Amino acid sequence: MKLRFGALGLGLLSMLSFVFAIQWGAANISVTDVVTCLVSECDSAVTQSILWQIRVPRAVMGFLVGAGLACCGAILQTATRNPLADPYLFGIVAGAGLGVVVVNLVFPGTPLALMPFAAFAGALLSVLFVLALARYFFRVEMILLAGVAIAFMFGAITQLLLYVGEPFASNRIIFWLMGSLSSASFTQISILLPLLISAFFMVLLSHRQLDALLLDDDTATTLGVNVPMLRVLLLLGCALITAVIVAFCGGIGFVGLMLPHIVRFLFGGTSARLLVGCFFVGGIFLMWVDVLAKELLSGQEIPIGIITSAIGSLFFIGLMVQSKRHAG
Amino acid sequence: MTAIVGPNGAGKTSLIKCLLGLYAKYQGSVMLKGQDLRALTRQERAKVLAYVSQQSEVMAELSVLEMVQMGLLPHHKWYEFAGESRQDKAMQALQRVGMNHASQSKLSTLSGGELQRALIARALVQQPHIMVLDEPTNHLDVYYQHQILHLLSTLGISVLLTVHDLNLAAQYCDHVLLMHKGKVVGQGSPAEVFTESALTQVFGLPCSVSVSHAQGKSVPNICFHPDFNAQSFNSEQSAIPHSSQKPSQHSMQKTAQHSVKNAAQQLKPDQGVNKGESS
Repeated sequence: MKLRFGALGLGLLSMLSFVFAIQWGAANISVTDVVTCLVSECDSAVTQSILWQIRVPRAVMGFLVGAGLACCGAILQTATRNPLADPYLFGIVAGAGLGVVVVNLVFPGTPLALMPFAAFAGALLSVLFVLALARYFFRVEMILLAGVAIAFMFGAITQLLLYVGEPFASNRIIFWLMGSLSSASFTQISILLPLLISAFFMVLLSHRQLDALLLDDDTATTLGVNVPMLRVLLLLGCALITAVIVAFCGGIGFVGLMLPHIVRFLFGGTSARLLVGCFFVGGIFLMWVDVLAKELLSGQEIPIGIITSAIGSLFFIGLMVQSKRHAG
Repeated sequence: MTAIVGPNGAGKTSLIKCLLGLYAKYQGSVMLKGQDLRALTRQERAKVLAYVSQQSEVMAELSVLEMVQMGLLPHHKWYEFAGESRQDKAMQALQRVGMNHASQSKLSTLSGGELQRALIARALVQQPHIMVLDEPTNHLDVYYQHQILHLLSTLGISVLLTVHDLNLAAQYCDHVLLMHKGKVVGQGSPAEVFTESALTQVFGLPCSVSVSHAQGKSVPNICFHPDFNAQSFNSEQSAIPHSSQKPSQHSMQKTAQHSVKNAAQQLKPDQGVNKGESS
């Protein structure tokens, strides 16, 4: 399948998904209402405000977050040649979470707009730690192990802070850490969208360099790739995107880990296919998971991170069973 | 076609990594067609030297054709999009290694010999003057060992490889470098280098060499006779590479530095440019 047609098809599917996803929610809005609202004027002012102030930003945010996490996972898996890599295992999420928790608990009343900066500072700290450790051991394999160690360390500090912190604030943060799109707004979109799109196209343009990393570092170098530089840039880019996502939506696990595997299975393993596939499939996936989060329990919203983690673990067991069958 | 031979830890891999520019910190210089290798950019280097590393498997879910196209990387700018010509070039390379039937196969389904040939095709697409291979016959059975070396000897470009099997080197290469403890201790045609005294000294095992003449070439045939009970064997422990004497990576790098210049001179006589001549 040609990549162009594939991307076009996935783009159309995303549009369709979007229209159908935003009809779900507490208030009943039919697909016809949605379409009328999107293409012309809404029938009622209530529908208008529900759609444009709650559902549309939330669905768009869901798409962007899913796309971002899936692409980060794909990039990290390629950059480290490790199928288990994702923003969580790298300590990026833990670092971003710590940043937000510190700012929230130590300086209560900090405006929401500053959260991405706090998250990025934390994420940057964890990436620098990981890179320093990996550089010390001088092996790619060490990056992931260092990431796991850092993730646990930062996680421990976060939990300690939550434990000793003021209970009401701690509770709020614990709920946020589970992940939710409920605070989605056009402000958040206006920050995440340009970041994500520019990072996405920058990585997509260097997809052949990424491909070369799939073989081994020496081969990539002899193909003319500046391997250490490329790897550091990719890690920092992922840290930035993940930090913004964590600051807005908390922890949403397993998307970065499992989506690249599904996309690889569906569309093939070259970086271009993987990235384009992850962008759309990740986006569509999270948009629908958010619908599940809203609809599964009536009158109550489940944190989206719980659902992705549950689906993720099932998926993982499935993957193991599948690989055992393949091995005979 | 040149082979670098020597015991484990003799500095074979360090030497080729210096030649490829993977290690930058060495004394002396690697001259390539009259130019210092370190003065070239990565991309320029990539158009002259192609490298096939020691690799028994590839992680990614790629098809053979996709992997071979990676070799085109140094020849294209980042903004050039994929085209039919990329596929054609990759298919031509696959044809040269006899793998065109498997272009759509996944790498994970290939046998060791097929993967090695696919990796060689990737290096061929790079259109290098010199192809450098690190133990291409590792993990392969006898049939594939001969198949790969025969293939390499018919490519029509200069090939530099490290190999453990001395008889394979003697059979297919027209030039060998014998390395020991980071130094080149012998170089020339296989018949000149593979003498009983030199091999016994380097590998620490008594051996006998019989020379056969075939197609105008004298091919030495080496057979080692280890006698692990003999007193002389124990006394020569220092020559045995498996002992704790194996030098560290760092000191290897240092000692390999001295051989770089030597070896580079071997490569230098514009072997790569006269495509028809070398084999």
